[in-house]
Amino acid sequence: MGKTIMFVDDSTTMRQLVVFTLKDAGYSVVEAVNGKDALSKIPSVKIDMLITDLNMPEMDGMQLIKAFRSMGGYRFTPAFILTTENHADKKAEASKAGATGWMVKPFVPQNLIGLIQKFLN
Amino acid sequence: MDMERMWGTFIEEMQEKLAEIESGLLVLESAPDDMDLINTIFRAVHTVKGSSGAMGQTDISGFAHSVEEVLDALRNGAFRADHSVVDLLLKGADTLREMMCAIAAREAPDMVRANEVKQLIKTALEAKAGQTTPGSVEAAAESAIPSECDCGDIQNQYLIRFMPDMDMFRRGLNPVRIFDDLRDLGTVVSIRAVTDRVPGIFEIDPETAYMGWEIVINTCSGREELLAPFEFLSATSDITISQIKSDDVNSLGIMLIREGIVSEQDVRESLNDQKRLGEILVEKGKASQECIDRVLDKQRTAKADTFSGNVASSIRVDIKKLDHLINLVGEMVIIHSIFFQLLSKNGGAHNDASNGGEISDTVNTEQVSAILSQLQRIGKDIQESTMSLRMLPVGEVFHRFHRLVRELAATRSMEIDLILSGEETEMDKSVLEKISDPMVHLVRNAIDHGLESVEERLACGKPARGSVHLNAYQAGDAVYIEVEDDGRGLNRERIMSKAIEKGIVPEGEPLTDEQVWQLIFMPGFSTAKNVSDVSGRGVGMDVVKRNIEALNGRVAVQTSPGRGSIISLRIPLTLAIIDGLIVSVGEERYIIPITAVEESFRPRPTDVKTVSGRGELVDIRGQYLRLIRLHEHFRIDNPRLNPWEAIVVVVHYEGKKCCLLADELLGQQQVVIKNLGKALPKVADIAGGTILGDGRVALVLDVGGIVSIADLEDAYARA
Repeated sequence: MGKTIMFVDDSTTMRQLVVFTLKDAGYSVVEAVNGKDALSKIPSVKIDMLITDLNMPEMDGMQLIKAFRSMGGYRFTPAFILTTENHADKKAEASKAGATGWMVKPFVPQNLIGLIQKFLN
Repeated sequence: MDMERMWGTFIEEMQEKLAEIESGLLVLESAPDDMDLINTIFRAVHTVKGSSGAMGQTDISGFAHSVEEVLDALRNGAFRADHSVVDLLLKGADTLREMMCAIAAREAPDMVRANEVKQLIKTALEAKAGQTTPGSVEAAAESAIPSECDCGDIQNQYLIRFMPDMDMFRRGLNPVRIFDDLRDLGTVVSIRAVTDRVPGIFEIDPETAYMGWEIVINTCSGREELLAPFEFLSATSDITISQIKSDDVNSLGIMLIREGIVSEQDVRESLNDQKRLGEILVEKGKASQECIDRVLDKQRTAKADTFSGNVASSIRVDIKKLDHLINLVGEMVIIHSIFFQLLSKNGGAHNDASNGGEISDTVNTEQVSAILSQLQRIGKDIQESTMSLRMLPVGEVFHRFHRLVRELAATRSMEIDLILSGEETEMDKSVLEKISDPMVHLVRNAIDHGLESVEERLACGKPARGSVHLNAYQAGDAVYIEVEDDGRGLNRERIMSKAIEKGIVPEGEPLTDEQVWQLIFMPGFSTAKNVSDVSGRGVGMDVVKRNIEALNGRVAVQTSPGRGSIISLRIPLTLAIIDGLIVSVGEERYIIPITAVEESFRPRPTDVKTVSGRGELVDIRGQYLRLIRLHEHFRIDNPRLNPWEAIVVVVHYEGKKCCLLADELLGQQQVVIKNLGKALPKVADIAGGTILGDGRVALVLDVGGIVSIADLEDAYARA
């Protein structure tokens, strides 16, 4: 399909699972282990969507999305946060940071595909 | 991608996270306000929750959520990490570990215990926060209530008024997608734009979402499903859904609940209600609850202990070591090609580039020799490098003891400090795993029998806090591990009387102190008042000794009454290629590891003396060292009997020195030590065997072993 997704999560298991699921669905995937890592990789790839975990060391998901939005060309790119917090204030915070939306953990990676297809097609 | 590999990575990662959680919690106890630490522990639990959920392990995921709630409360300052909280969290960590063991073994985790701990957490949170905990996010699997819609039947009409978050576009959201989603839920009757917020044309910012919409839709879906398409905007937008027609017939389950015949809880509980084997047996009177509990406890600890056994065997490797190894292999490849080129360069007409380079007839032996020795060096480096990949720092095992010491101290009402040193000392991974259990026993022993109670210690003028010191260091070709305590030390009289009582030693036997201390390693010796600690685990001091000796190691004891004891373990490093001195004795060939050799020489007749009761001694520059005749030791025929016609090799072991008598020194070379094979029993004086260049088998000597056997033989001879 030619679309590239960046997935950011400090958990090896999560990255492995999600990368596998996304590649299987025909997407190209770029991985990063936390916000800082992601920001260092973004300039050299053109990504069509960003999916990031919330709680990560060095730079968390919120900060990443804020920084992401201020990078050239990514103002309207879909950017999702993975969060287990079901609290309303976290979601509001995410929205304010510029996140398109969120996916609640724990989730089955197949559900992620549905969400991605909605926003990338 | 292999499911097995993914599973393996998942289990490994969970193991790492659980270790992080546990060690973090132990530190937390002494630093309850360390927010960074609390956050680190939180993230680890969070990862466990997320990853296990993603792998479909909803039980563990749900339980991790409960634990996470406590940590979240700590993060928010709702309460402090005092002893009871840390205890609760440790229970949670233990439960997670047990559940993880179960699934690693492809079994279902024990929900009874998990639910108990969940309840404890719930109570704690309620008590501290003074309010009921918010409903936890249960994984979808637990919900047994059927959803409402019987599609195709009853449709309702709704009016949805949607005034979006003005930042909608800046977040990458598109209203068209939302309308498409709504169309999937039913029939959209009409969409009308609401332009109340749209400013004048010159003030319009194209990136801001001013417009709103009113949508009328016919659907059998309920309110919740209608809100789904607005999921990411509902918090920051104005959305109202009003039903235009009234409700109709609902499903049975919902009706029962609505009519108050059963509660949602009842239904949920009924589904989780399942009698366990233990319960049934108790009910039938086949076993007492006590017994069941006791066995369950054992099972639990046993499972937790065998956790690592269920993980696919893999190891984390320092990338620097890998890079070094890759470099070495690269060098070897280069030397190979130089070699090959060398061989094909020399020689005459037979050489033809087109046939791929034949080996020529004439070769410059000097160059070949140089290359071969280079190859040999590289080969050895590669071997060492590869072996070192398996080396892990002993700290990996040492750190587990914090938990053990903490628990033992708590149950025995003692105060104990655990001090670690030399944690960076490296050992082979499998050897490390094998000394883990013996060390556990030694530490338990130090605490149970060595350290005194607080009152006793104070009475003796010792500090109330007892200490256990684990130390590791490398010396020569072995790693030494010491377990030291500052307790009451070993009591010679008590050990002697116990040994005499058990018939291990005849009454009146004169034994040196050292020999008395070694008695504690005799089978059946255990002064076990605490049978419960030892039973079911199959560990006793004799097993410790056996396990260490199975690794070609040794156990030694030093003790000082009233001051404490040190148990030292000596574990040889297994490096299979060594530099050895080849000696001949009669027709046999033996190899003495260079690391054990100090010097070798041919003595003068006057240098060798025989002293009654002490055997032969050799005078080396004024120092007299014991002489052990290898031909006597190994019962070899036709040796050279006179030391001044043979060779004396001065060797050292464990800080002591002695001399070995052999016929001739044949040379020094690198030698690959091979095990003698499973058919032969392990002996103290032989470390292995090898094949020499001429095809003969040579045995590699263990100097320390030779000396111990010589000691034993002397003792027998004198008796």
